[in-house]
Amino acid sequence: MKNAWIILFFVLGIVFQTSCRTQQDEVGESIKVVDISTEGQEEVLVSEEHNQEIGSQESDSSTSETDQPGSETPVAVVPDPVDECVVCHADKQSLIDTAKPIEPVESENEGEG
Amino acid sequence: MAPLEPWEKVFVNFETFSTTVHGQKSCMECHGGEQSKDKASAHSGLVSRPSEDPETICGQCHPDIVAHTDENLHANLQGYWTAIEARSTSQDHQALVEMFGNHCESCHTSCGDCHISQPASVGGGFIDGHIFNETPSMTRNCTACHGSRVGNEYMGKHEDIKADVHFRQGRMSCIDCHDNHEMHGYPSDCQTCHPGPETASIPSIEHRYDGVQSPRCESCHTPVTLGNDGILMHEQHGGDLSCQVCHAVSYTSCDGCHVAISETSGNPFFSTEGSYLGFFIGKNVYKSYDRPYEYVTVRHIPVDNKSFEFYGANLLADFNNRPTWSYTTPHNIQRNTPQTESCDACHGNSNLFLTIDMVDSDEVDANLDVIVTQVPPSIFELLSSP
Repeated sequence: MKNAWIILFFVLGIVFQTSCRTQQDEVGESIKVVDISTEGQEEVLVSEEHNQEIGSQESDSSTSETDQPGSETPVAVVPDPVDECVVCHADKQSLIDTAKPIEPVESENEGEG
Repeated sequence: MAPLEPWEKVFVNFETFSTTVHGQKSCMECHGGEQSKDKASAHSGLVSRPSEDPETICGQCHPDIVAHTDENLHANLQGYWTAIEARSTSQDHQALVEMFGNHCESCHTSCGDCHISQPASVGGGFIDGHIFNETPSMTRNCTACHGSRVGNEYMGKHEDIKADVHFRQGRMSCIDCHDNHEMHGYPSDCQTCHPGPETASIPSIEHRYDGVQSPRCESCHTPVTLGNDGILMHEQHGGDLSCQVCHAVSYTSCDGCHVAISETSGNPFFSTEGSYLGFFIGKNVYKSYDRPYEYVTVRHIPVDNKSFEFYGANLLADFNNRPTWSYTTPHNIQRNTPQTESCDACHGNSNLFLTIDMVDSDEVDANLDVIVTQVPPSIFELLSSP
């Protein structure tokens, strides 16, 4: 009976040791991600508008650069040029407001055309 | 067809258009103009209809289509000039050019007039928010111009006359028969199988009934051609009658169109003496390998020798060189018509044939090759004759 208790405590001890070791490893990895060297960093501004340009494929590359540890370089934010043609011609109310007044023209044609 | 609102004519559905191939270009690449919030400045140097210059604009990506612009009847309006030049002399050419520019040229069709906008002749404007439609709209494009005759006949807009069976039952649009090859001026379907130098020598067509017949009824109704459909009349008359002689019904003819410039408004206008429904069988002036028929349907076209009098006297000095009762293909096809009721529906029935008494005395000489001098006798007379 005494031996059974000893064996039981021995097994529980092994289990306890194993679980504690796993948690310590995870903490260690998270510390590695956070520990970024600050030497030699350059400030890089990322263009936030690039993703919105027609046909642009730059969003993936700019994202991957900022995720890599030690590569936070600022990228200049360049706003997309506004296409004034679209600003007006895609705005129904604007077109209504700026339309020339309709001048009724009485057709002088007679008969089938 | 309801008219487009002014804002609709220039509204760009950018949300959808920007996802299309044509939407990848900036507006100014085709339309010019300037980037400005001010309307007048923005429209400085604007090219409102860039496809008027297809070689420069559309040809960048569609060189194979643009290459045939010169042969495209919708673009070159050659059919008009074939008729005008046949009836006139070279000395009157300049006056006729002025007339043509004022009254006829509006029917000139650019790429955009079929694929983006309504034709200018019916007010223009984007049909679908500037989206390029590969298949033109039957109502906004085709029958916007081809409305008073073909459109009304095809869609059954004449009282007591049914719509064409291809529309009524087949739900077919214009493009189902008049495909892109024909519309783009390709030198007939021959090139599909014979792309060699022999097709390069095919002359340009001079009018819509010139050259290879396209479309052909027999392209879909093949058993008719082969005499395998069990219909006796197809075997008897398949070669000497156009399909429309038996299968069309009454259609529009017009009389006496005159053009001028209004003294009050300064705008060009036309006046037609009259339009009427009727059915007339005449002789085929375009008889050829492609159109071997003896008899065809004809309609009166509204030209007369004073049509262009506003621009000068006697501008159509050779008026009689072309008939005024013209080969026609009415778009109101029916399986069963008055002509198909019996043989004697046509044989011995002078009411159906364009006889000399039906032709205006001033136009008899022009129509000598069309007028039916002897109506086919009744079946009884045929069988009784020795």
